[in-house]
Amino acid sequence: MAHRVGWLAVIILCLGLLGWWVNRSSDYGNTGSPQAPVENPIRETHRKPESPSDTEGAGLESAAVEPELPEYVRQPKIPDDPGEIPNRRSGETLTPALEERAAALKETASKQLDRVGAPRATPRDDLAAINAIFENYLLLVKPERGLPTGLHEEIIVTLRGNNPWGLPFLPDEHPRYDAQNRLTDRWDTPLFFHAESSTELAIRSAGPDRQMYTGDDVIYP
Amino acid sequence: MKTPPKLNRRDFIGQASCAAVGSVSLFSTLLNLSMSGRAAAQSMPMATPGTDDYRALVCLFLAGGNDSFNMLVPRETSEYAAYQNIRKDLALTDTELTPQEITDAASGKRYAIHPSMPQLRNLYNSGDLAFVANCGTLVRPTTLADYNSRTALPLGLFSHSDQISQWQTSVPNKRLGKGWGGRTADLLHSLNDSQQISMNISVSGSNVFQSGDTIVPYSITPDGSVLIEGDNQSSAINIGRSAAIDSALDQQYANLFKETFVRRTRAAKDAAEAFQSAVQNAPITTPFPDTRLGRELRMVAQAINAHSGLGQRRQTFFVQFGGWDHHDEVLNNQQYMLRLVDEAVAAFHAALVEIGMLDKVTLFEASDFGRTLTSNNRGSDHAWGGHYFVMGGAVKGGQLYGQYPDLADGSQFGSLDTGRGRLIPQVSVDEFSAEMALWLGVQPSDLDTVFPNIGNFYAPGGTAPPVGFLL
Repeated sequence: MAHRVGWLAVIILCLGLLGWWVNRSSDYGNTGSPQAPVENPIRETHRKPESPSDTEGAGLESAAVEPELPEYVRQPKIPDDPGEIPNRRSGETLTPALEERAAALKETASKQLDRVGAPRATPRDDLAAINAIFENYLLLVKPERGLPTGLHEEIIVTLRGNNPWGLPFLPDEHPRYDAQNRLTDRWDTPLFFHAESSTELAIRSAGPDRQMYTGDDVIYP
Repeated sequence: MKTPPKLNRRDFIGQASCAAVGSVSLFSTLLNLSMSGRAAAQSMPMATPGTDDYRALVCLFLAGGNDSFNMLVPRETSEYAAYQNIRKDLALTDTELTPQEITDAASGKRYAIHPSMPQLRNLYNSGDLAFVANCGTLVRPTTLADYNSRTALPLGLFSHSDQISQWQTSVPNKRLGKGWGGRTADLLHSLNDSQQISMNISVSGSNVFQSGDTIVPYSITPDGSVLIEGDNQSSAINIGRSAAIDSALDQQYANLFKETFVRRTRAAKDAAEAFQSAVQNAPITTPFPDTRLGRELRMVAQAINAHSGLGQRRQTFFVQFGGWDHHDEVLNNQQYMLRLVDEAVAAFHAALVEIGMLDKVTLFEASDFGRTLTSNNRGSDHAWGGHYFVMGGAVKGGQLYGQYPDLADGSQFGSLDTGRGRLIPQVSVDEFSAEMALWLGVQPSDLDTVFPNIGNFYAPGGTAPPVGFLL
């Protein structure tokens, strides 16, 4: 009998210690300590939202907790999938939902371009922001249609509205365009888009020396 | 003991009907398979007794996009000037090109093969090598207006993976996982006496080109087939291990998955041993360069020499050589890499002569796309049409097929240039490939099964071949 009481006491003591340890851990998590883990912004850029409502909520929460976090790490606010995209060249008309969705992407793209060269962003972050524009485009037009490929100018013209749907996915004007309407990096050198496939464009920046294919080039992904 | 439930009349009729319906679909499937096999066999060329009607295609795929406008350069004065004008820092010099000049037997015009390819020049001059100029992926004959309005263009034009895939499927308006070599093998494999080893053999792993509905590539290495590690007689331990493997594979397993796995492993093991044995019994003495490509083409030559032992009358081979995406350092890289191609292909040609198979084997080169004629100051970028060579005894060599574009401003060039010297192809991959599929034994009536878009370029069954570079 004495043995049983002794074991019972040990078990209660262990449970008590465990409870204290769990409380202590959660307290640390709530302090907002600088040591608390921060999600990798690059990975965050690629994270797909679980649902439109999740996307919206995540964006607001992120903005409230870390207002200085770069804009492009937050997912764009994309309305519900409007369904099959009509081909305007074939005389089909666009639905209001689709136009709303494209307008949201265009607005997001503008903000993402604003972040290129931002104080807290790295050159690789710049390219991640531009890559997010391509990813958002793919989300809308679906991967089987693919990204525009070809010369830099052709890709930009397509994203600015010369596509079967007549929809602009990039702003008409932005400081990141050069005189030939090419997108430039933070050193004002036109980027190079390397078509790995119709769903993946590798983005190359010439880097600080502004010469392509030298050691300081920045490549994404 | 539990007695089975009695069937009443209604249950019997119901179950019998279900069984009948199930059997009909099963028999129908079997009948269709049988009929399709017979139809394929009937459309195949018959073997002449006492003769070896063997034929093989070898695909040498230069992955990355070879800058073929420097592999074949125009040498007529005005055309070379136009070439220099547009290529600028990428242009090969007069001094480099003069020793490498060739003449197109059809037009009488002079061209030059890249200075790193002196042996290919010899093969061209001896009539065993030809070029097909400005060839590429097309859905249908395409104009600059079509390009500008984005009408009927290949999917993912200018992108690596799409263009590699479309060269290998020959279906640029769809994304398929089956290649024209695979579809050809689906039709022709019944010609082979043995099905133990696939008609399609790859030394570069799995690939789209050789994948068909029923045929998949059999992968080998430059050293031959892939055996189970330690499954040999080289030491006492391996002898024991080999016996243990055989014992495990000879067992019968009640579990369907285990039984299937064991049967597949046994078939793979037997095939690997049969391949290795056949290759060892068909040696080749021709020296090959000690490079990866040299070793791979040597193994292809050995497999061709072993075709009788393998029971093969038709074969395709796939060899991939990567690293051709020269956005920078194109001149230096090509100088090195084209030499590797030159040495390996020349050795392969010599080996075919040694084994008396030159007339029965056609090697063709392919690549993702041609490259921009204009420079990006370091190299060239992704483009569309390019030049490709074919080699073999059945090739009507010493000639260019298709039309080498006139690169002068205001000439035909203007109607082909989609920007930066990215030229619209004038020979489609369909025509280029159909020529070889017909030579291998595909019947004209089956050509649209292998090349669904061939009707946009060529009327199968006509007297003229699609391009005309094969006898």
